[in-house]
Amino acid sequence: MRVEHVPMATLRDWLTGPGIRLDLGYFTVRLTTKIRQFAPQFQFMYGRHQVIDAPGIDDYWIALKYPLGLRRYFGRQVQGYIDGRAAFLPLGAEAALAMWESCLNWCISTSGPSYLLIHAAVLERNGKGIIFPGQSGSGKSTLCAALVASGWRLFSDEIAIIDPADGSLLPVPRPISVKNESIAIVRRLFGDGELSPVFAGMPKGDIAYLRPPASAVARARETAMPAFVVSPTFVAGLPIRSVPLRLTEAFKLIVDNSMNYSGTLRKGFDTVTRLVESCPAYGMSYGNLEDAIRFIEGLCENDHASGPLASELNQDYYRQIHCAAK
Amino acid sequence: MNLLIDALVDVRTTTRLDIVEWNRLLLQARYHGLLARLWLDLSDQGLCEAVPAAARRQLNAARIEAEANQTTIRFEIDRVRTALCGLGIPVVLLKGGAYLAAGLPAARGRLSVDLDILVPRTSLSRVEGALLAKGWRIQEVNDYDDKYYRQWTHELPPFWQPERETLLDVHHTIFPPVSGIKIDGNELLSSRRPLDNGLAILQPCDLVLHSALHLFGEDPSNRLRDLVDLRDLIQHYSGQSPEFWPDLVRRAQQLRVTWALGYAAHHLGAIFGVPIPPAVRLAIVPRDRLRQAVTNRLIASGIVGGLHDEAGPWVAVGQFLLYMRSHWIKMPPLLLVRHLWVKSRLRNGERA
Repeated sequence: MRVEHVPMATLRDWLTGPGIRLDLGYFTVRLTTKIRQFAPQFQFMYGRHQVIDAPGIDDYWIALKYPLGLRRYFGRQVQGYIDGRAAFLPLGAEAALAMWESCLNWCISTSGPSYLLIHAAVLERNGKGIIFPGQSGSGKSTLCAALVASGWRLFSDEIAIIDPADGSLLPVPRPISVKNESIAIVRRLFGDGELSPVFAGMPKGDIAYLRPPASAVARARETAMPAFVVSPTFVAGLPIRSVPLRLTEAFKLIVDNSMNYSGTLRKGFDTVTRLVESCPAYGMSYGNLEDAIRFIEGLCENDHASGPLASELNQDYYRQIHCAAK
Repeated sequence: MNLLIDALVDVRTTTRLDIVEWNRLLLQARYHGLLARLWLDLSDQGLCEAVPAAARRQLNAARIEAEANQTTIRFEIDRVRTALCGLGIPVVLLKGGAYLAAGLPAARGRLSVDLDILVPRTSLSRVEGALLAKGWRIQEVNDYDDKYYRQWTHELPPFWQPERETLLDVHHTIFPPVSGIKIDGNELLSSRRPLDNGLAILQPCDLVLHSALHLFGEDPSNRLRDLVDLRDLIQHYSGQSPEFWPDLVRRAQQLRVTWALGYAAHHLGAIFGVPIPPAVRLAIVPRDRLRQAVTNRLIASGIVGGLHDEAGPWVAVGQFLLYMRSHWIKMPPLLLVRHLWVKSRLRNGERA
């Protein structure tokens, strides 16, 4: 049953009682909360996800609660608990959705050695998966939202999950988090109807969430093979430039952005090796989203970077644009 | 009632569980950091096949994670050895690092977030210098915390290895001397047990007493895991020598920490059904039985409970009292008042 088909009263009963078991494709998370504002926001953001009716094994239990102590009686706050332990500093109770997203990110990024996890946005079109590694603040979420607007399938705006068994990418379609100036850009692309309220004054500034498209959620169990790795750097006003990365650079890029490389031992090494040997990797700096999308779509049509972009091979270039970005 | 305790006492109890109970058991094991341990116990009994598939995936992933963690800790032990071997001083591994390096059963499936070592107090500055020279950094703490560590605790501020992202705690004894419980670090060092790699671990009685002091004197976050440590250590050493229990009591009296051994004996018996020799029970009778009984109730709920929604508000109150108690034990009253005052001001300052 889809979350959007659960009547609000029933959803509230479940959340305040035994919780709902949310199907995230490769993860099952149980969610409980008594925070009233949360239920409608959750139903909107996760409406297309499935609730699992049958009992089973949860990978995680996330509880959103009012913190203990006197603070609960004035200026209500929300505290996230993961498997019974408090996670993150409390936020204002109206930002329960942001707390839930942080908890879920934490759960997936610490989900252990079964998969190789990389801090990256992942999108797919025509069976070709593209990995955009980057720490938060690199602009990958905005790029991710723009690619979704041009018809790419959303895998994740945060975490690439690679199955070491065959090197395939596993989707976890979830809301895309957009911050600060990007909120206006994403609002222009999607209109108001797809965005959550803006949560102001979060640890990383203002934040809003973009609802994942129904088609991406419906295909949450369809994997894809990675075709390219593109390391994006947004520098306002800069013309688009790209540079192919050497194998060793690509390897280091993946390992530096991996959340569990050392924990996956030999399997992780083999997985990264296969990834960089089978997928060309590029550094891409861009000053506007249209250029970036054109570059990426050109990449997929020609199976390599075309025209003047690829010719700008310069060993120091990649380092330069990263310094410029900082 | 508590599926995890049942499974830790006898893992065959899991064969009776339905899927809802398995889910509950795994949640308890995740909360207490004992998933990998549970899996190893299951595989020892040849019970892995009987585990529901989804649970098996989770347990096996935890086992691999624990292995990777232990590889990291082993490597870290080797780095510490290389960094400090030139100083010509005894270096003793404590807690998880010791169990791992000595191959003790307590290391089974155990995760460590940091490595702890004990060195002579007079060598602290040389150790600090050697570690800084080899790439460790002192974790950034404010001036108050720095003073707190150096003046009042039994350790230096934590060392951070930025390349490997690991933590190292350097101790000069096993309990804060400011508490009034003064344990001479040299006494512990002189009876250490050398390992093949040039490092050492504490002698068996000291190893057990340190584990008990940590669990019952400080306020650790993994109380049940620590009680499992204690059980494993005591079972291991008492199985090796019939003299272990009497030795343990004598050593506790000598170091004047029989109170910690008393708590250990009580809770090992009450929670895991570990048999405690009657002579030991007699030797560690507390002076104030009523106070002991109240504290025992508090500690027991702190060890077994804690998983929030099944626990209810009273367990949270109990946890808070345990937190206060650990400070009460560690610091004299006036210093404690000052400490909490400064901490609350710093915390408010950080928020603003």
